Amino acid sequence: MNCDETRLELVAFADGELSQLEAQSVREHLATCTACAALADGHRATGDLLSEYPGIEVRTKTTLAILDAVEREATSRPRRVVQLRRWLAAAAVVAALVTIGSLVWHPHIGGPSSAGVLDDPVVLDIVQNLDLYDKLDDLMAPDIGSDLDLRAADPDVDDTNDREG
Amino acid sequence: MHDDSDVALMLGLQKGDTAAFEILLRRHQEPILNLAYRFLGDRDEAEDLTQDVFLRLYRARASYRPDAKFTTWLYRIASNACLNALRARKGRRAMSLEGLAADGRNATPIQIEDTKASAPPVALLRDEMGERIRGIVDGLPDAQRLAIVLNKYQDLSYEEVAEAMDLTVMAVKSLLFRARERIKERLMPYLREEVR
Ligand SMILES: [Zn+2]
Repeated sequence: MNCDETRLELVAFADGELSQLEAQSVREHLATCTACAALADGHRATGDLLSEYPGIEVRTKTTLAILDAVEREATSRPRRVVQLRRWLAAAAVVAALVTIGSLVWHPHIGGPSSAGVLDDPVVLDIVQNLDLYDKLDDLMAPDIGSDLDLRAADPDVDDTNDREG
Repeated sequence: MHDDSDVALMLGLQKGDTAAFEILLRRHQEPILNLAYRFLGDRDEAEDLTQDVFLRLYRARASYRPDAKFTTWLYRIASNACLNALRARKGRRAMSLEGLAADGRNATPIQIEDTKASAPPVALLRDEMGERIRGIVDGLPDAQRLAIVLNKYQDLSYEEVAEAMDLTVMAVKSLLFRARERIKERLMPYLREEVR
């Protein structure tokens, strides 16, 4: 290794990031070159000084704020399912009104048992679906919000294994 | 150090165990807070960012795969959040890890600084030197600053920094070399006079 090649590696050398073979080459050069050895000392000293930058401690209120925020998110009703349920409820009301309307205007359609709107198979089906979506709501809660998924919200953050070295 | 149990906790969180989240938070919030603090240089912003990172972690729990080291995944989220916070603060053109990748790929060849050797520092009050270092780190270009903070203060290897920043190891090596050269140059006045 000559001086230029050695100097390119001095930071990685100080950081312990060179392979054994590379580190050995650097050491051999430093043993014979006082100029490069002095630069290496400089990088080591700089590295030591960098550790003088003090960190900060976590305040309890920060931890609690994060736990609160996640708790709120965990217990909030999934948005899309809520919207779907609202839509179905509205559809059920419309269907019921249409059925009632048709009974009023064409009483013969309903026959003897037409007084019970819930007997109508269409209305029944919607009401049963409402129950189903109530259950789905609970089942889907843990996975809900793929729109909140990091990949979707922030395509830069992805499975690191997809990246080439 | 914690990685095996971190993975187990993440898998628990995926199954709805919110207690696992609290353990992960208490374990990793201080490193993330300090990453944000040293990158952004402001405590309040760093606290907001820490909250943002852990909320993102919670929201992205389903996408976590146990074959990815937990801290690598976490630092990737945090690195993105840092850059987003900077973008929000500066209100400047879109900045992304792709931008950093371009920065790393287009990095000019490492320049050899032909300066005199530096040596151990003169005795400075610890607080004074801390402020000095803080000012120097604050003054680094964004990509260099993030790389230095991840490597020097979060103890990530070059390879881990590369994964967190979505760069190649060579790009990280170049960023860190330039950062350290710049830092050494700025610290020169505070090094012992006889070796300047
Ligand atoms: Zn030399």
